[in-house]
Amino acid sequence: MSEFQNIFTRVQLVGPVEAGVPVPDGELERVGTPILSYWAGKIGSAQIGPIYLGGFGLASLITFLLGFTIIGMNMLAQVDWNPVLFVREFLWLSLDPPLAKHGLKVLPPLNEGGWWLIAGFFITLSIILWWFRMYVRAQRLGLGYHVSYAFAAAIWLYLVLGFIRPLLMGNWSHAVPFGIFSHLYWTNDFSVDYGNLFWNPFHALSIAFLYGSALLFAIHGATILSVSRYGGDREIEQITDRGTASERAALFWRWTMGFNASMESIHRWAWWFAMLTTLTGGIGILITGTLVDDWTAWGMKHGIVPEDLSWWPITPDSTVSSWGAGAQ
Amino acid sequence: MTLGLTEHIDATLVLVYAFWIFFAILIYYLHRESRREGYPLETDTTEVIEDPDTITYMPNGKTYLLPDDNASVIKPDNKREARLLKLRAGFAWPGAPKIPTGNPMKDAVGPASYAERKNVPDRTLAGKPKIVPLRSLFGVYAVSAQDPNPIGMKVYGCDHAFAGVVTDIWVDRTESLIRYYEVAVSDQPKARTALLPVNFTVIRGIPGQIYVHAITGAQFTEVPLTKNPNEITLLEEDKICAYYGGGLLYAIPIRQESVL
Repeated sequence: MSEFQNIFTRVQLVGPVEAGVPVPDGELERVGTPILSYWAGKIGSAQIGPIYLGGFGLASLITFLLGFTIIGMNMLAQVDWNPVLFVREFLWLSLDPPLAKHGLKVLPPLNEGGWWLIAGFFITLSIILWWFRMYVRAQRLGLGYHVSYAFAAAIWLYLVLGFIRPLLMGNWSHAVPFGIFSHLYWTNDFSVDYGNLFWNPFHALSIAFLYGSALLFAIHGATILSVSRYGGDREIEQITDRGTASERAALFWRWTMGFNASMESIHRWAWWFAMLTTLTGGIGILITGTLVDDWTAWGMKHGIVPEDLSWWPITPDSTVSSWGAGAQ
Repeated sequence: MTLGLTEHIDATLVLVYAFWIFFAILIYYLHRESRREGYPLETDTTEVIEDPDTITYMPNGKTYLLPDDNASVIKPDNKREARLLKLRAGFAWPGAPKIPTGNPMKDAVGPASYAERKNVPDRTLAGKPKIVPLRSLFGVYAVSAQDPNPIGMKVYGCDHAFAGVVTDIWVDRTESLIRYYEVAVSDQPKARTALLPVNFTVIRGIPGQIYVHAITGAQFTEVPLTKNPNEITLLEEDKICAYYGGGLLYAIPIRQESVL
């Protein structure tokens, strides 16, 4: 039954570009001449641009480039300004937070973490300016603030990792380094140092919401694509004037799952689950080392981890078959 | 470090339970939000409608502002459609399929059913009809040179019978997307046009012909029409799409039989 399932756009149109809804008076205009990209048009709108940058956006871009350049220059200095080595060693290069001996000193020597503080300052400033950009754009265009709230939830986790938790611990050295492998090592060491993050309930919640929101977004996308043959991809209109697409989508889930969301509420489900990924994740990081030093011990105290691992082997022993000792 | 109320209850545990309480309230709120549409339910064996005032899960009314003329709607509205459906109860147990009493595709029941949407065209930000044929846009849109041009292609139904020729494309000008093909159902006894939703089609071969799995070639003569030949209302869209949807179960008798 080879029938078009609306996974990609089979026949595209070329027509006048869309300027977007009018920008309120006294604001900077959107910049750039829109282009039509055939390959973008395969899965979505072929039009790219124009883009609204604005004052906050421009300031955010500049501060990001400053922070980015400081990190890059530090990495280049580490390979003695050799571009070949820079490319070869890139994944291992790192700009580390201040040494532990400097505590919370505002500007330690530059090569002992001072550059990290300066780069972090500019990157953080850039992210917060971009948040303001999103907030003001929503306000000017008469939208709700949901996107900026969701972005704020992600900024919360970022600030906990690089700013709030180091402050509470009284030492910048607890912050995350800038670098590809170095930040992964930091993550691994963080778990090992505090008795296995696996037993941190907020870490577990964060993972559940991460997978949960991915699942919600996937089933929502699949549902909408499957009812797009009934006009279901025009979701907004279906909220206030329900069509057969919305009814079929709701019936599908009621018959398969037992209950259903609506054209509006599915977005509330997915938005909350996505928000909670970083909100709970931030709490989990914040209480590690401040409230709890050893998550395995905490888990044992509350009956999550058995004290005698032999009666409940948490981690299966890969050298022993699960069918029993004698099995092949 | 211990920051505990008792030997057992520490701050982390309090946080975890505070989160569970928050999450329970959140799930309750989300379930209520999901009930702005399609409720109150009706028991399908007795046709008794639940009383919306007695259900904890029903949300309070919320006003949605609409784009046209400061209009608004309140949801949930507890409205019920008054149509008499040409169906009879199949069996006595809950969830049993209903059995059509006439031609289900023409009666718009089961998978051919539509919703009573507004009988006005969907509109652009400027208030113009959103979905219109290319002929009324005076050539500002064209099919991408990298894609096959459907205009002039022959259309075949699921029985591989010839249905007609594509004469025009209906464009959603806010999204720059094709929504319908207009098919001249010419080889049939009653010459007429039919709108064909683009997502019910597949283009096969080079230079290409259009295969429609949903209905047979002959059933193109009964696709619901639009009142205005250059506009389509939301209700008409629902009726046309539902007609093709109904064909997936009713176009040929074998589709209602078991797969094995």
